[in-house]
This record gives sequence, structure tokens and C-alpha cells, in this order.
Amino acid sequence: MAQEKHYEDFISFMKNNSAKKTLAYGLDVEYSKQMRKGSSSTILRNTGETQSVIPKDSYSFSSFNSTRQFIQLEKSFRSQIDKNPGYFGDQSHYILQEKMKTSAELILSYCPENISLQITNEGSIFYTFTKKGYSIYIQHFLIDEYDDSDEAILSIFRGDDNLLNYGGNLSSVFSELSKFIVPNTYTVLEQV
Amino acid sequence: MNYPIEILPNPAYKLIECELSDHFLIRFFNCNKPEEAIDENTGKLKIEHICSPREQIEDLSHSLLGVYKPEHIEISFTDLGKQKFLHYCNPNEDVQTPIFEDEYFFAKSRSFWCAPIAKLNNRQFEYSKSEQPMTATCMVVHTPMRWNYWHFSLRWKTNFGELSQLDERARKNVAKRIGQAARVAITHFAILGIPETPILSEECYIDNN
Repeated sequence: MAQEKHYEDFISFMKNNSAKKTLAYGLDVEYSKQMRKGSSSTILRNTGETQSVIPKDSYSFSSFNSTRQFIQLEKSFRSQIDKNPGYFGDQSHYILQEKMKTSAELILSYCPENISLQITNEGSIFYTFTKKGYSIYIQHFLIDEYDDSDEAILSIFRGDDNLLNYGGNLSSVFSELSKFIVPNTYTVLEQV
Repeated sequence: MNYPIEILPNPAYKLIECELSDHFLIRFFNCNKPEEAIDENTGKLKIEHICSPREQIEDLSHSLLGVYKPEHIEISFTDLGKQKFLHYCNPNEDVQTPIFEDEYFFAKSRSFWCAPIAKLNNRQFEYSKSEQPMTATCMVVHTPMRWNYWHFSLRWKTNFGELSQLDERARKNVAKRIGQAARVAITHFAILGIPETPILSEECYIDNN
């Protein structure tokens, strides 16, 4: 029964995310399907820039450093969830893990110099990372939704100067972040 | 063991409202090894050591570093002591000295962090570009307690006025932003270790009237 519930949660989660946006990253099933069809240039449009699509050949998996960072983040997330089981209500661990992967992969696309992940008693993940002199804080709420998608809040510092604070859904938060630093490996795309 | 009476309220004291931009706040957290409170990747204070889940991050207790010293973070209260001393009071209140073991004891597994008041007081977090614009302002407020005259609170105000006037969704959104702003402000500016701090002028806390 537990397995069936997890599977239903998984299907629901994938449908929800596929309807809204697609991550151009090898772990995403929908994007992979589109790429296999060979017609990605007419299907996917960059949300934050005026250029059109990411060419098929330039798509690539993360570097060794990003992989290492991702593994550390995932391990840290699991360990913290185990120590604080009440922080996320009765949300399935599988769903929490998948949501965490969404934001973690988005952040790692910016190739952060340093990154940490901490969970909070508000049912959120609090990321801290640095890049090119910026200190960036992103709080991703895993158990509340904002306009039918995950809510997030972003703050950017350079030295003592607070350059930006922004709250919205996950996609819009990363659009705002991209105005300061550009992702290295991929861009968040919107399904047309 | 004697309670440090220099941290108690005093009939000669007044509320501290002078300029404190050269001073620091200090707050304890439960951790034997202070180095474990810093994230090894980012070098910043881990947010779990900012406040515990049962506390309200939007009204965070600190002390003013100076007369209140790092060794004072070990003071902890029994249930009886909490009933008698963990209350706000006037700065000039005449308070009985807490009794060791009956009312207070020393908790040894504590560490502390400090934060510069200049970086926190009146710091604004403007969410003007958000889908729900809001400005949250951090305030460092002197809030003496019966056990500690040097108790300060880190509080927040917003441009929404009374939060009770907002609908539930708006109130929840404001609370989330304040929580985020508080964590960001502290994790960005907090330091482990004892910073150099000037001696507070007596004019700031002694009532000469």
C-alpha cells in the first residue's frame, strides 16, 4: 500500500511539473522525450532571455564538482529530514526528495563556489551559496504552494549590501537570480 | 555560586535608547563545539543555531555584549526560576537576586554568536519586485527582563501595519518573509568569537534624574 501511494504521488508530481515548466537536465523525463522526438527547437522557449533555444548538442550533464555538490546536498537533506521528521508534516519523503532535487539542480546550474542546505521548521529548505562575490540565500517551501507551484524567497548580498529580495514561485525566483548571475550548464525553459 | 548582579535591573537604571552602532548583540545556542555551528562549505552560521523551533524568529532574544559577558550565557533557569524571572520588566525594577540551584543553574553545553547592531538595526528588506510587495524592517529594541537588564529583542515591522487586519493568506506570506529576512540577516552578519566592543557610557543606562 505504501508503495502504491508513493507511485501515485510520483505520477501526480510529474504531471504537475510537466504542465508548468521543464528542466533541461538529463534527469527530467519530459525533456528527454521531447529531445528524442528531435523537434526541441519548436517546443521549448527560454523564459528569461531573448535568445531562443538551447541547441541539442550543447546540452550536457553537470561537471564532476556539481555532481559532488549534489550528492552532498542530497545526503545532508536526508540526514536532516531523519533528525527532524515533523518539519514537513505528512508529506511523502519521496515527494520531498523530488522537490529538493528540483531546486538543488537549478542552483547547481549556476556552478556555485560553495553551497549548503538546511531545513527549517516551516517545511522549507534554506540554501546558502556563493558565486563571484555574491552571497545568495534561497528558501524553497516544500509544503506550501503559491499559485499551484512551490513558493520560494530569494535574497542576494554583495558584501554588506542587500541587492535584492524577492518572493514568488520557484521559476520566477530563478528568473530574478539570472539577472545577477547566469547559469552555466542550462537554463530553465518553459514548455510552449 | 553568586549570580552576576551587574546584569540585574537596578533602581538607578533607565531604558537604553542611545546610539549603539558600535556595539554587538550576543545570543547563545546549545552546542558543545562552537566550530560545528559554522557550515564547512559556506563559512556561515548554520540557521539551526539562530533559534530553536519553539522560539519565534520574528522576536528573537539577545543580550547587549559589554556588561553582559560571554560567560553569562551559561545562566539557565529552573521551572521556579522561569516563573519568577523570565518576564519583561521596567529597567529600574528592584529584583531579588536569583538563588542558585533553586532558581538558576549553569548550563555548560552552550556556545554563542555575536552580531553587530549596526548591520541589523533599521535594516530593511524590500520585496518591492515581488508579486506581493512588502518592506520588512529589523529593529534592535531594549527589552529588560527580570533576570537580565541587558536583554534586547530583534523585532520586525512591516508596511502592512497590524498583521491582525490582514486575511490569513496575506498574514502567512508576511510571516514567511519576516522569517526569511531574519534568518538571512543573522546568518549573513553573525560571527563566532568575541568582537571588540566599546564600554557603554553610563549616560546611556543610568538615570540621573
